[in-house]
Amino acid sequence: MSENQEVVELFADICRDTFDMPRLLELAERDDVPTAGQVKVFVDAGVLGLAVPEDLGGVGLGVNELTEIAMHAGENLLPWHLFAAIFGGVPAIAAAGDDVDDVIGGDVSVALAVRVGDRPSKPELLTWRTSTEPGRVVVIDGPETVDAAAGVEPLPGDTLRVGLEPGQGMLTIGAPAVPSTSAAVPEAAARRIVRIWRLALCAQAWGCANALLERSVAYAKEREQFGAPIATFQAVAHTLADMHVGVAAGLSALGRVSRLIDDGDAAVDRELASLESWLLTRSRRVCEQAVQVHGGTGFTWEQDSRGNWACTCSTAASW
Amino acid sequence: MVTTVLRPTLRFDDADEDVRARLRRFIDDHDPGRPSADFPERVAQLRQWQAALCAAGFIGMSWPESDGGQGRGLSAEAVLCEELGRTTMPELINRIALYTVAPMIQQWGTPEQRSRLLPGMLDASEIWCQGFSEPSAGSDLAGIRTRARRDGDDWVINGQKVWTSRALWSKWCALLVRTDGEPGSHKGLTLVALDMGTPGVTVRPLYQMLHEAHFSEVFFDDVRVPHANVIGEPGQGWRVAMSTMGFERGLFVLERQIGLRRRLAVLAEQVGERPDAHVKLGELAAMLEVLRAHTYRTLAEQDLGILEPGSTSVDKLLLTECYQAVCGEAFDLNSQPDRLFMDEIAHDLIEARSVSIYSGSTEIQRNVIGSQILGLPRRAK
Repeated sequence: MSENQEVVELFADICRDTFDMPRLLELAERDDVPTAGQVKVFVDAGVLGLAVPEDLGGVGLGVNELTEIAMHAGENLLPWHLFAAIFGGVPAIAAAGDDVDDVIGGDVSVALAVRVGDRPSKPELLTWRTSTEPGRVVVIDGPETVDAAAGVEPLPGDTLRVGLEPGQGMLTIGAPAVPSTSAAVPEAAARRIVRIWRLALCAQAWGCANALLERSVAYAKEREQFGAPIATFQAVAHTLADMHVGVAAGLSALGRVSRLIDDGDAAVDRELASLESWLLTRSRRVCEQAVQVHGGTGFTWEQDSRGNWACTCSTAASW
Repeated sequence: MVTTVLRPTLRFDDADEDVRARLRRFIDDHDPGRPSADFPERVAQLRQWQAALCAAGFIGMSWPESDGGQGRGLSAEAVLCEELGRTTMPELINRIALYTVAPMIQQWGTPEQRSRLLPGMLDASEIWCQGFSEPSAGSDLAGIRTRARRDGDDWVINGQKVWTSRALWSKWCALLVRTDGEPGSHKGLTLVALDMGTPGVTVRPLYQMLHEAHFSEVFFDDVRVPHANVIGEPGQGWRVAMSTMGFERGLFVLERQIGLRRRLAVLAEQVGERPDAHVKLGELAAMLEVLRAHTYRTLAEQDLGILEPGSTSVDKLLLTECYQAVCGEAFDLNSQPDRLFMDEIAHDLIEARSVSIYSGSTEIQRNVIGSQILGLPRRAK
């Protein structure tokens, strides 16, 4: 196993240990974000610098490994602001030429925002709520423009709040705001960051689906009705097979797009858009099929297929 | 089960791109023209086309050099598929021979069989068909009843096959017969190379929904086949057949996927200016990109020798989804409520129904995924 692969495996272990199902359910019930202690586990492991090149103080993982990291993040429902920091916020700050030590070290938190609306003079931001006030805000302003701002100033007016997934700090939209300062990321670096960000979103959704496929197969083998495991019923088996098709094809497409980004291939944006279009919808379908396979228990809070399903929905909505 | 590790994908190196450039020049200089509407004429055109490609060195590129190939990887075959897909004759007439039967003979056959049977596959001078399915053995191939009884140096065959594609103009048949045991068992099956001109072989064409005789019934009345034509050993037939069943699927799916892209491009020309069509066209385009990505993975894994059993069932199911979606959308977007006639769009819609049935039905593919990949238990009998 290469050193980078060991990093991927370590990340997966940290995710599983830190955010196991009982802890995720607890956060969701409290409608809260992870504790500082939980975030510190990732910070101490250097996770926030995974996508930052080594010469800029990061770990410098390649696109393939970053994709696998995102897959694990999806499987384990990594809190959103950690995900956004790893794949978008911190690499952008580094690419803008700013010092990232305080961010990678967890002293300053990062929020990722996406420009909405078509008004060129008023960039309105949807900022994700984090465990602390965001010290840095990174704005993804389109396929080639990324701003590593220093802070935000709220705009006057009504506060807009829309939350899709409580307990993850995900998509809780605060007051619209504008960046107070700006540090533009050079275009080529911005393009790569945005492509990796979009790929990571797809990989995250894939991870959600893959986790539910595995749980569904295990459940179907164990759950018995009419004197036999429900996995022996063709209707259930075929549903699982259909889920597998989505997951297997998604994995193939992730691998291909990852290579295209790495190679700087001219076809990358077309295939990335195709991946987003197909995989996000299909991952959601896999999650919905998982609920069906689990029957009544699939609809319970404890089963938490909800978490994965919601992740794929909100991932699809966020780009 | 799917692991959280990215899989390999097909890469084209400089040698592959050189093949692509030469092939494009060849196609430009030797345009086969539009295929004839007359079916037998179309078959003759396709044979000539493959013969020309063979003479130019583009057929069997992945075969070992000792078998008349060039020892290249599957990436070269993928180039051939992709470039042929842009022509009016995208399909190789002897595809079954090149990508299904040839691997069986290369893996299990004797040196004499290789030297006798393989060359004619390349230039399409000897077309092959595959005799597997029977009236009582479709999805359940273990139900095969066609029997072969040993008589001296020969096997004497009696029985019947159905859905045999290309039987009408095939020289050879890769025939799966029962030499031992009873129907219902995979054991006791044997694969033989049958000369279709042997006395006692009767071919009766079957007309499918589109009234084209793509396949036939084939009857065997005391047909004598030399023991030297057994591929592998008697009783090994199931293993021989299944060992390479998935080999052709990657290239087959790639070829079909290119055809679907052409259909989509035509559809975009027909309805692209309609706003209601944009989203649907985009979805279909995305689906085809994912299909291609998955096919590239299958071919890469096949080349590396790490293709997992049952994995090409995913390819077949994805192709089915895409095929029926593209043809269905083409029909819906072009539909005219006051008439229905058999044009190319309706033809494709009907033909698309066969994709979920041939080469292993959708239900069988899902069963394979369930048992071989997901490890699901079977119901006790």
